Amino acid sequence: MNRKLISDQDLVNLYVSGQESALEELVGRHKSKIYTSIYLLVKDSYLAEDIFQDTFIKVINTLKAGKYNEEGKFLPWVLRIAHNLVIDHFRKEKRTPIVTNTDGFDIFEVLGFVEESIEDKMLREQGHNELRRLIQLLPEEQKEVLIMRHYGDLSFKEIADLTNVSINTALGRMRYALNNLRKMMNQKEYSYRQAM
Amino acid sequence: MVQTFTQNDIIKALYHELPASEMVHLEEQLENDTEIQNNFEDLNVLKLKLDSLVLEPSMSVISSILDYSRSYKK
Repeated sequence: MNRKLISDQDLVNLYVSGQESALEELVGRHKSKIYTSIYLLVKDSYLAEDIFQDTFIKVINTLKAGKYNEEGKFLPWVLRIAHNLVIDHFRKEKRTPIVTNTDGFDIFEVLGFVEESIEDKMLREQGHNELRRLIQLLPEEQKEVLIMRHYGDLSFKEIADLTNVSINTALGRMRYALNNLRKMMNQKEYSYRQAM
Repeated sequence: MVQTFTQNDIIKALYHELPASEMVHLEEQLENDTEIQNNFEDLNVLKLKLDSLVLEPSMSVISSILDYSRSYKK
């Protein structure tokens, strides 16, 4: 059977019934979205990996104990666990995230690019670093919605429920996040042009 | 009747959450309103840039998770 055609729910059922390989498929299918979401919130690759691992330990414990009841919503459920672990971490640390762009450069990989020159690769990495930096400059509420919607694939309704706000508030925060990112990118381009 | 869309509707459309019937009307409005059309296109470009920023966890953390599952005891 081609596992790529199986729904998340069927993979969950296979895993609960004892097929370990179903978990491998679920992790492989969603690891990028989950890890990117965590990383953009904590801004530290080592901490992001720890939280990513803790998230799946909770997932495994729940599934193996037969306590999973989120039929058809595997990814939003996992992202909720990850999100709660991030909040727990910052509560324990009693601090808010600090903006930094010096961490994790060498261990993340950006997918989807093949056969590019060294110059192209450098330009792309510079672009990604800059984009990550600009995301970190967004107000926390806007950044949170952007990450959950864009990287976590949660619907605006799910984000609204998770963050205890109305859908319109969640949509408004996303709108401000995108507009602010766009403004910051335009300003940067303008500064470059002025300097040349 | 001329249907007008809010900025939040544009965001819903961008993330494919606008109902199909409303999407048809929005597309009509986009064709007739250059300002909204440019705004929508700019947001789409930004969305593509965000799409390209995908990070991956290390293989070792994936292995640890799968090992934990295999050794799980109730």
